[in-house]
Amino acid sequence: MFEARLTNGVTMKQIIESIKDLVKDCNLDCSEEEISIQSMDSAHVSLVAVRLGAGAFDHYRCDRPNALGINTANMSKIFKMLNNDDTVTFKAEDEGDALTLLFEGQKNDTIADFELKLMDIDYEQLGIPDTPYKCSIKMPSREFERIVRDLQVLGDTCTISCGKEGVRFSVTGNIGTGNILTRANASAEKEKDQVIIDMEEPVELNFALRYLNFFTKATSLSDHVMISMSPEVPVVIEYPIQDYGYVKYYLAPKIEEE
Amino acid sequence: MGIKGLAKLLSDEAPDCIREEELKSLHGRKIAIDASMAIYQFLIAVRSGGPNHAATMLTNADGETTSHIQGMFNRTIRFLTEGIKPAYVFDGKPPQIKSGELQKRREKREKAQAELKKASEEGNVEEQDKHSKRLVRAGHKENEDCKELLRLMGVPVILAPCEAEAQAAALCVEGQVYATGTEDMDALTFKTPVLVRKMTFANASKATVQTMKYAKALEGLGLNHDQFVDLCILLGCDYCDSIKGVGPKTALKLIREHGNIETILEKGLNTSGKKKYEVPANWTPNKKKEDATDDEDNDDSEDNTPIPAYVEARKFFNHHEVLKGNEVELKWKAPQSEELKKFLVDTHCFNPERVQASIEKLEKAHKQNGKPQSRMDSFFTVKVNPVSAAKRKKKIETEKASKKKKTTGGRKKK
Repeated sequence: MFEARLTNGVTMKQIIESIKDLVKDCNLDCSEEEISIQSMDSAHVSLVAVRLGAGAFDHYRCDRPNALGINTANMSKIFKMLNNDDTVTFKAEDEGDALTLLFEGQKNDTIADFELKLMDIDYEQLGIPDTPYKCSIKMPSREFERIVRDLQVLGDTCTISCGKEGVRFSVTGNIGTGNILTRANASAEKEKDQVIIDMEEPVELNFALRYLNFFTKATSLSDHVMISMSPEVPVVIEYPIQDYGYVKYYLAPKIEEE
Repeated sequence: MGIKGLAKLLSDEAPDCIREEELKSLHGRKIAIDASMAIYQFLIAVRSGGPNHAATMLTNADGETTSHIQGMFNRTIRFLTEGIKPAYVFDGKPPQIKSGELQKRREKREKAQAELKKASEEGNVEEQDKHSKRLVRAGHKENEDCKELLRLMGVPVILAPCEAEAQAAALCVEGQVYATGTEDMDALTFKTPVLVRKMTFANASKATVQTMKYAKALEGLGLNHDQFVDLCILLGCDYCDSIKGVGPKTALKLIREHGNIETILEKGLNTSGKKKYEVPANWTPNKKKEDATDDEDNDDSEDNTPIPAYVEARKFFNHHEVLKGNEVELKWKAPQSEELKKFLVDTHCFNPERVQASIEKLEKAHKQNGKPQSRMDSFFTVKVNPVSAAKRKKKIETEKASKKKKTTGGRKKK
């Protein structure tokens, strides 16, 4: 038996919205401690990892680990019917083939329930080593979203280079080139405007803008985005969900061949 | 071609080894493709014709067939656009051991020829179509055309000393390429770690391919490599005859029970009591004939092979004549656009506008592949997700698997 009640139901809606363009089918892995999702896109270029700890829920019960295979597009359709202040309750039997979703409004006494059919998803989970990164950048998520959107006009590959002066996003395309430099300002008045760069050594990597753009779908989940890079490994772009979870995107770099 | 009934047997007995994947998921991979298989496919499939007369192959002004060029050109561009790096492997000399099979094919072709003649006299379009397809043969010229085309496109061409699928499998085993691309199931018998099938893309919008994993196939069947090779021989391969009356199910059962063909011949068949099996004459050398399988064998057999045919076939599967990885050059070069255009438009009467558009696609793909997108699984290794894996197999096993998950720890891997 799995049962979880999320007062702030819209968080789940945002999570689904933030992965549905990248991932068609995925497993909601439920354990005693958390609900997690891990999936690669169909081209195996990027990976999304979601965690929502039991602490995020005001009621959480999971008798034994269970993998609930869902279609993100269908899940999203159901969450379209959720009001922003609704509470969501998830329920699934251990051997069941459906996930029950209960939407309860705060103001009125409406209760909506849905049953989403589950499926068997054959997914090979990847083990992600927990290594320290050479550069980590914390910046406003809106700012990152804007940069990615703007640079897409110029080309399809973005070079992210983190150096002493700040983070530089550059694109070279058929019509020309563009650079956006974001400087560190740890002392900004409002916390959400801060840009903090923690750098051990400069790193420069190339990425497909198309994927970065998919990632910015998570912008509404968090004021900040954390970008972590090391040479020749995938970048991690993390949107923290308060203290109890995250949506993390990993993107494999484009490699210069000799 | 290939191993009779192996695909079906695997989908029944080892469904885990087969996966339908989007073509996209292969991006960045190098794939060794059996060129002869592809050429045959094109010669049969790429045809023009109306409802009232039999479809004919595409030809140039001189009446030379160009179906294979058309097909090879388009498919290769498709691969490159998806970021897949194809290398085509061509057949070398046919192995001695295959001569029986080739003889059979020749006879079939002669039969089809006769049928075709009959059908065209009767004016039966459907029959005509059917038999003309059976007459298709990828000859020397077709092979040479494709080699020339691929060279101009900048795609590597590998000349196998013998069978193409064996060469492709060998490259795959060495890790030079990710997979072998052919319909031929015996690539698995040649131990290719990954086999990619159904790369036809008949449906342009939904391109899926079928991949088969060697290791998972063996796991699913519960056999080791030698047993698997013997199983393939029993199922029926190109290199020797098989026992009559032994189908896929029986073959698997016999191998599981007895381990190899020798023991099966000794015990498996005779103890069944029914004597419905017919062991091919050349499976039992003279010295063994009297004691082991005297009832199945005709004494007037003129075949005096000192070594049983199945042993030869087994040897052939395990020690195939191939080029080593360092003898093969796998380099994807820029297409030679001008020459390519000349080759397609002037020599083979292709539509200049279409060729131009395709070449542009090809150049774009080449440019993109110069700065290739790396793959996630080249950084992080696959680990088994005990929960979903167990769920897929047997629900009873779920509990055991989840315990395993706890003891082996979470997602962190040092």
